[in-house]
Amino acid sequence: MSTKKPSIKGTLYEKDLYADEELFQMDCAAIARERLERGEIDRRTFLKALGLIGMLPAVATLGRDAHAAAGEVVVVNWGGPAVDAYMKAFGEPFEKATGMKVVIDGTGPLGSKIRAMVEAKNVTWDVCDTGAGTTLVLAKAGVIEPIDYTIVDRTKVLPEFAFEHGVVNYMFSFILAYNKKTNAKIPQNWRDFWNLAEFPGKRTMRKQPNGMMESCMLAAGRSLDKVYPIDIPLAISKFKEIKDEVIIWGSGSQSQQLFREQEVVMGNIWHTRANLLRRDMGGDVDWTWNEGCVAPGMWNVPIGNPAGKDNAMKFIASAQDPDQQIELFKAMGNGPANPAAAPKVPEDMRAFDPGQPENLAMQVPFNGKWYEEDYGNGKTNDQVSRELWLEAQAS
Amino acid sequence: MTRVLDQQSRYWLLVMPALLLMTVFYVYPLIQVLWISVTEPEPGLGNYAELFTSGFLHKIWWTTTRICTLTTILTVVLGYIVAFAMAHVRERQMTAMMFCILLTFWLSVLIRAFAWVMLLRTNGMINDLLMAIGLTDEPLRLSRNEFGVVVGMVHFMLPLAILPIYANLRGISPSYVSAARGLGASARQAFLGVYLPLSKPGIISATMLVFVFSLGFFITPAILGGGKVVMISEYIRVAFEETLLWGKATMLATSLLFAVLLVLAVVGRFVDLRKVFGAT
Amino acid sequence: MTGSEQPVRSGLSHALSLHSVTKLYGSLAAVDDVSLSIPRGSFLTLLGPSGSGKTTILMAIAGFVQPTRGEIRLDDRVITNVPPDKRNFGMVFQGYALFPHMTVEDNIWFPLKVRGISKARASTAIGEALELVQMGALARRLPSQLSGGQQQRVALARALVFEPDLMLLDEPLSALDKKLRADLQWELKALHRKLGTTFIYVTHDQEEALSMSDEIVILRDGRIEQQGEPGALYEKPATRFVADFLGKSNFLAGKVAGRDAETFTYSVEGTELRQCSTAPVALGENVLVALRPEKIVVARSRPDLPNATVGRIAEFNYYGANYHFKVATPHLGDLIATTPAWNCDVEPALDSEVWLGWSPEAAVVVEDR
Repeated sequence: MSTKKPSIKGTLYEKDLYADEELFQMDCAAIARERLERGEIDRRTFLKALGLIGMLPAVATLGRDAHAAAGEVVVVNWGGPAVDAYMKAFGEPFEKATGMKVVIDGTGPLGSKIRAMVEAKNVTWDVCDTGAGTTLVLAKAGVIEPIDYTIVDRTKVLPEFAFEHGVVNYMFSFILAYNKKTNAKIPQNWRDFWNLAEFPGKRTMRKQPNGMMESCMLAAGRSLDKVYPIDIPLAISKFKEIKDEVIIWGSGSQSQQLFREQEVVMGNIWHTRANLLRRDMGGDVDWTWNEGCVAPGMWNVPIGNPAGKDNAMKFIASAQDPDQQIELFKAMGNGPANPAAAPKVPEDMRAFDPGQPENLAMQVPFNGKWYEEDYGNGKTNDQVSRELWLEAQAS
Repeated sequence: MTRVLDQQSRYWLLVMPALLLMTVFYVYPLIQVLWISVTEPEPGLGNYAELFTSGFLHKIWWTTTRICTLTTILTVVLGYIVAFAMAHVRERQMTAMMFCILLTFWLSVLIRAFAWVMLLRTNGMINDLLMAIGLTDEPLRLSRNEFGVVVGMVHFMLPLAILPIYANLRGISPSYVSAARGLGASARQAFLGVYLPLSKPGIISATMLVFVFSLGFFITPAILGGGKVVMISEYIRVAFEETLLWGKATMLATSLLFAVLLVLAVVGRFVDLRKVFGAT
Repeated sequence: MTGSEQPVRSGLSHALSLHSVTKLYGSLAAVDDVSLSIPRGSFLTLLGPSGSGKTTILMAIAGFVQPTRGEIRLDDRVITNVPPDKRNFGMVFQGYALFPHMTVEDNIWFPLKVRGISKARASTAIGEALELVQMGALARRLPSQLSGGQQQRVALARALVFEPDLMLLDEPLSALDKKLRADLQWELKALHRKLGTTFIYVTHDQEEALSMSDEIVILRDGRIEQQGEPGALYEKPATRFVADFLGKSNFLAGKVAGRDAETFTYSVEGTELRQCSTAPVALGENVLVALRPEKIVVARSRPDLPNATVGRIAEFNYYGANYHFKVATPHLGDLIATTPAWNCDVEPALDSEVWLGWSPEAAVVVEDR
């Protein structure tokens, strides 16, 4: 099994390469590819590669993206096998139910592209598969619609994951993964992660603060229900305590590679990658749901979307069906967002589902609301924590 | 008289399409960037003010300048040595060397960066070798830090330095050094007094090329720096793509552009830039 | 040396000698067992066509070429393996190799600079060197701003400023036009006289060699063909090669028919000619005689000389001072004769009938090689 970089083939341009910045969605696509057969490059993958060439060409290609004809909903994700997986899980049922055509576009809904599209008043995307962080940023920039909870059902998601401008489509977790062989004892929680004396060796944490600061707070002694509101300066100073022993990961495969090459003994990584590590390293690497941070993938609707706000909301509502979500879980490992899906998940797959009640109980849900709040001088907690987190890494 | 004018305007007509292309795809976007930097989030020079107030930005600028300067010096020195060798060996060996250099040029920057990670990491080949021959007991921290970044960048930039220097060296007639030797100069004196000054244009081109290129680097620092070496370009990318702080991103990009122009202006006072860029 | 001036620095001139020097490139001998002795203060020219080895010898003397075999000595010191920068010889190369990034002044200062002399202390010497070649006014110029002749002078000054033991010059005038070349030949000769330094000069131009040298060494295929004073070489060439290379010659090949004390006769195509020679020649022997064009009398009627022939002007060239006639003779082939133009006895026109004549002392017996 390879840890080769996903999707983009043979490009020489640095900015195309996303070498170290990856949203969870892209990572799932990469994992899925590693699981499924590699498909041929289709037009969508090609468009995605094109679209990644800087800003202007991105805007220029906007016109070339699958543009919505009347009665057509364009759903945008990170491409590759995710295109077919989303089509099967969400697209076909929606088409059957409403008669509206669904087009899955794998170009990759980068925040900057959505913003450029909306500001240029040339929006070609209806529903975008982004993340919590991006949703917060886009909401602050005022380019995505508030979710219409009269169409989308609030009860079909965990309350923490019903943001004002986005709603969860599937779940994943930031967990504590460790190498059993290179650690004398098994680390149980984040305090152990911070304990350099008893657990020597390098660790890895993510470039962005979302999902990381939570572990800092837990290591600082807060209990699961008292993680929020996060004391940002405290979290940063906690990070600085172990900073010299931390290697930063930017992409999922990078986090996986660090374990494979035994450059780190433990890490705060996505559970999907930890799962792959457990499988591929003969059981050397394992992880725990304990003190994990369960986070949402998000549906966003750009302002001015071609199919109209209502149709976009209808699609999102349709994708809340538990069976559809389990379908996606089987194909790509994304945990179902609808709590009602948890009992329907097959027994042998429950250990990998962050939404299972016993797994959920051990984790702290990512609190989008707190991140949206004002920190002071016109910046949100999200903005401030991003800045300070990056600053701490570079210092 | 009209004949002459006609020729002139004919040349302009020939050049016009290229100029137009440049204006649309180069000048216009540049103006857009500049515009955004003074209008977002609100009109004014607030973004630029941050250049002076933000300690973090200072740190990033300092890191960038330090690494780029170090990279440039190392690359030009190493590049000179290689170019010197190439200018003095036989044709066949020179061709082989040229081939090797161009070959690495064509490899993707990503492949090279990862190759260096593999070589430099804690249980990578270099550390294994050093420990095997007993130079060190514990593996050295060669990657995921500034050392790794500089190594990766120097490696990438070497062809950029070698080629202009080599072109210059090739044009230096061997009779100069022979004359110097005959007049009583030792090999070292001949090199320092005659050869090196004659290779100045090549060195200056290489220096400028490498420095400007390295300012825009962020893949190699990202991969080999372990996330801890944050350079300007990286920060611009984050501000642009992730945090959507376009005002900040464009401000930094514009500052970078001005920094480069400043460097060119300073260099231009000491050196005839037109000569360096190829005019005779 | 002629002239009434006392040489300025004769105490510094040295004698150079080559002993069986050979240089092989693969199996090709560029220099083949050359032994040479160059006396103090002389002006010696290595003359020969390209490929004759003259430049290789000079380079070996300079130290840029290592002889495969043999020795080079300066006075009594063996210097064969001494590197070029330690030999203290002044060199003026083809193309001058003036350092383009330095002014004239700095170029001349360079050899003193590498000997550890600061510019301030060197200023007198630099000034003198510039005066020597009359380039004082252009001290601050760059080489690119100088004409060919000026560059050559600077190169000379640069090579002389550090009072070298020897001067080595490799075709320094070949890039100049004829008039400039002629002027500079005078200057070089004067310089040599004034300084008294030993000059070793390489050229393929035999006029240059004749006009400037105290001694000429003619090289052919890496070996010395003949050496001696210019006059001796010109009047008494040893071989066909030398007779043809140094100046021009007509060649008459014939069989010895008879002989007496000072002369012998030989016949060429039935014509009997008389030749002066004290060297032993046998009857019936094949002999080659070289005859210089300027020694032939060109007349309207048969001149009163032992050797004469009639002929028709096949071609002629007018050189202002002389006419060069190519005369087609019935038995002796085409002969080249020159005669002063202002006093020409015949009508210079194609197909004119002329008589050519020469005395037995005018020609020379040469070896046919």
